[in-house]
Amino acid sequence: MPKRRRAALLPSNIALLQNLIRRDPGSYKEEFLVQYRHYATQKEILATNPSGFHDTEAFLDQIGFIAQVCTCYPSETKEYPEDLADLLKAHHSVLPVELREKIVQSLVLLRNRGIISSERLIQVIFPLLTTTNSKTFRKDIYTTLVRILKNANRNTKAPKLNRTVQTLLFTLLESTDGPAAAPDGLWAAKLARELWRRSIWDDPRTVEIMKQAALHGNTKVAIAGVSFFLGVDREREKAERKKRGLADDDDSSNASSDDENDDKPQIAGIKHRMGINKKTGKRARKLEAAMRSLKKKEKGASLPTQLNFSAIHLLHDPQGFAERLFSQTLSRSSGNKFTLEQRIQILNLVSRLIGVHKLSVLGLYSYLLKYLTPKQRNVTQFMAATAQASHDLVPPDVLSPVIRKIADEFVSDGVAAEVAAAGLNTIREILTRNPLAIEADLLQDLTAYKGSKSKSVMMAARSLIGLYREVAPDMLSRKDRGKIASMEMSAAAAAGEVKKLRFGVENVVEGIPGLELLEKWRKEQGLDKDDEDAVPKDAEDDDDAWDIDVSDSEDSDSGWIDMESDVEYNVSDEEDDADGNTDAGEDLSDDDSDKEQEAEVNQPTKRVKTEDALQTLMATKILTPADFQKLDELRTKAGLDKILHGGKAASATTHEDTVDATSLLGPKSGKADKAERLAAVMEGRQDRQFGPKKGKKDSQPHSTTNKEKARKKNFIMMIHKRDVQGKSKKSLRDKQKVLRAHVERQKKSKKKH
Amino acid sequence: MGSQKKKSEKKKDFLKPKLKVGKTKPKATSYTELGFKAKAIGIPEQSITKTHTSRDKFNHYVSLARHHSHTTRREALAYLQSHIPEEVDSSLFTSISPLILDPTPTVRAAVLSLVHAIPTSSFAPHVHLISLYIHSAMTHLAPDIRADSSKFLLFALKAEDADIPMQVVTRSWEKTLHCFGSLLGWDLATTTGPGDTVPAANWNKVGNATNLDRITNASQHLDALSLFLRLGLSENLTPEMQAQRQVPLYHADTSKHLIPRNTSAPYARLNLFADDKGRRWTTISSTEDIGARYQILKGILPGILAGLDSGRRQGGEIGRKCKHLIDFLDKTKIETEKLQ
Repeated sequence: MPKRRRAALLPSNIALLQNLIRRDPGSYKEEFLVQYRHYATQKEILATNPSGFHDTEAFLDQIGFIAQVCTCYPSETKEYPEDLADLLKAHHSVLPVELREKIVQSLVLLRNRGIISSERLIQVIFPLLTTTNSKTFRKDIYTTLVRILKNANRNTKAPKLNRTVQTLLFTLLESTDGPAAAPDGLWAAKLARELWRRSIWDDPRTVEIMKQAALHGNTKVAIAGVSFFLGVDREREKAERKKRGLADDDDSSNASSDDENDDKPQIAGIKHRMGINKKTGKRARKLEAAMRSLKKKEKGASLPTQLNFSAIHLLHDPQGFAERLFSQTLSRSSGNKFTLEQRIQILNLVSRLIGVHKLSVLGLYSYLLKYLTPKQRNVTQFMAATAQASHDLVPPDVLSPVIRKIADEFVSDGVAAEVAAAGLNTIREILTRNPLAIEADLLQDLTAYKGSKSKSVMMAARSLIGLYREVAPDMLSRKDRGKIASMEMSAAAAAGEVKKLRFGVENVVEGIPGLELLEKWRKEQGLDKDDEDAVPKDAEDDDDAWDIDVSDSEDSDSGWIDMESDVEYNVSDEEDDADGNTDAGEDLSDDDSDKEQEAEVNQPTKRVKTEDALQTLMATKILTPADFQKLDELRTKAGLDKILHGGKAASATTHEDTVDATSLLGPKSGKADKAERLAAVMEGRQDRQFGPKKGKKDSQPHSTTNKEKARKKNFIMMIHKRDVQGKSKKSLRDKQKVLRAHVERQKKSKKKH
Repeated sequence: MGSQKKKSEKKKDFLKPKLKVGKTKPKATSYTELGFKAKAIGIPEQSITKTHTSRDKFNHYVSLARHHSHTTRREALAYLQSHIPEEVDSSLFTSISPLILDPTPTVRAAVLSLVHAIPTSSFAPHVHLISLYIHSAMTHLAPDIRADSSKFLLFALKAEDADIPMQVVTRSWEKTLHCFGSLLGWDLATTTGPGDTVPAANWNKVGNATNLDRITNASQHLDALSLFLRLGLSENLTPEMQAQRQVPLYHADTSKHLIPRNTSAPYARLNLFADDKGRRWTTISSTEDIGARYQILKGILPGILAGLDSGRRQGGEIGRKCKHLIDFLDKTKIETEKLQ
């Protein structure tokens, strides 16, 4: 028999036994079996009478021990994982807390060792999430679940596991739904949201889970689902940016930007110290490490962003979802189980769905009518929802009552200026999306507010005018049309082709806007003169062509436009265009600046020429990034020229944009009131320290101060100094002086406290 | 000035209060009001009229059986032994049965004497619980607890009420045999050939340090094993069965078809409510008749025989007992195989 260390034979010394078993499983099998048998009998006692089990600590150790060495004796311990699972399933509510935790830990360990699969582990612990009464245990399980999924999806996605868990979440949501809906489904929503936020799950199935949650019978679960769709994508972006260590645009995540700022002085400081102190290998290594981390961070910042679809875009059957959401939660038949805030949230989601996917949920608009009065609480939110819910495929006769109602309730002489401004802004937002929803009479009534004394009302009315100058100038009164719009109108009338807005006709973009400008520019530069010559030249400069020429763009960024450029002449030509003169260059500049006007190209010759230009460039040349850069430049130049002449381009809003409720109120006029000022001050004070820094300095790690040094100085060294000797030799008067000063100081310091 | 006021206040403390005729004496500054107004005074959990019944006291001592101090535990057990009521309820058993695993030897001895004193009729419904703790004691890590386990098992097997040993034998036949394996240090899981010898060192592990102890322990374990095997494998040992057989009115095997009397869970062997069947350590294997029990024994018989053989070679008391047991097993083997 081999010699063994005496301590190993003590059966209570589990740690040593574990170590020995790891090294030589065969020899210590008997010792292991002793432990395992004891565990088995103890487990049976526990299973019979879990609340009366008292020998918890020893049992804990044994569970951990067996889990650790399980891999050494697979045939003996093949029942072990299932035993633990059974214990947990049957008795989790009465088991002692630490034992419960230990069992979960051991199961996780077994999974890490590959003895049980992740699926099995999740099947065991997931049901406990909803059945247990303990808050801490629930939290533990939740974090464990998230961790398992995160690890499984780290390098590549684990579709099988994901599908299993998603099915579990589905069934949880389904089983708790119904007339007596339980809030258990909240855990499903929470888990899915967390995983989405961390970009672990980004597939349509997750979105389906949240869709199910949003339509859940329980209020809490439904709101969790709704808020997922409203806010989670921004959360995900933020998390991603934080992960990459990028500075955030938002104020809320100051932490990451702080990290960034911390780095540079650190390196500067190390370099400075390198210059002053003795050069050692350690210091050099420190600098290297700092440089490396900085480089890594920069590298991370320049990584291309991952393409992620937002949850709303990944929805399957958005029309059905929006209809069900509206009928189940908002319409009168559902009863009022939601509070106003919750209803606003749901309304926000429904309107967003309608806007993004261009759905038609016609009941919504009449539902909104009820809430659109100035006295309604949170009315701006309702107005924002109305604006979001309108798009160009909503029938105008459905939307026009809404606009009529807003105009009647909000925009009249009897109401406050900010109410009128909010009403006008809302109407503008709706009309941007669906310009047909208003009659000319009403529009002209509304634009009459451009002369209002209140700045916000005046600006709102002007923006409405600006919008219709571009969209349908004929609906405005003659005075409001402006120079360019009326000239274009008369030109169109002369050509006999009166443009009219029609329902259901969409603008189609046919090419890259402004491509003609580029072509013209190239011609002027003589780049395209000879294709055969150009090709070899291009081949030579291939690398240069792909890179954006920085110096070139910097030159043009000076902010001043060369007034001698051809574009300028073209624009001046445009005014002559009323006579019917056609010029290829003019028509190009016209085309790029206004998408809407692109549709109303009124002369066939023009169209042919445009198409020719497109053909020549698009068919013959591959556009490089440098080309696009130039194109951008040319477009801004042309756009600027147009602005100089008074045509104000409407902001290109798309049907997918959200409407911010606060922006509807218009710009704030007048002084800020006290509360706002205070808030601003407080914001400025954040992260700044006031008051004495004495105590704070002491608490920080620092070297010994001079004062401390003096205090601790060896007595023998000081005894013959004049400072000490002089004290006893002082005259009585001097002594008194010192004493007085001391007393005075004491008093002062007391007063301070 | 403030100081003036302070001065006058300070002075006031040292002035002697003047006593005036016809006026009440002014109260001292340190006077404390002792009177109170209350409609009722509630004193929780302090009943003056309550008398401690013997039942309460008994329950109190039952709870003391779980006390952290071992002397208190022992004394509580002694009290319980001297005050056993007519009807013993389950709380007593649930609190004393874990003490089979008690680390203190004196406590274990007290438990043993207590269970001897409890009337066996009230004992019967709790056999299953107690047998769980006996099994745990048989596989325990501490050698002295392991050594004492046979005493409890012997008690259960020798109980007057014939139902008790039968419950132990029928409900935990296989498990008890495996526990004996770990108790005596035999390897029952792997079947050894007839020629192999079990190392003699295994016997050294049985029991405590001293030689004498070891022998007494081992012989006690062997006693328990032999009684257990005899109960399980011979037909006519339970007196109740014998009594029933003697009644001429019924069929000879009537007792087999009757609902077992006096048991807490007569159909537990059917294992109706268990989730997962077919697990060795958790199931209560159905060993209602000798044939089934022998089938189970057959699987581990080589291990047992090898162990007994090595014991026989030791000689002395252990050797004699081992030899008896081997003879018995051989006889049973022949008989059973003849039957089949």
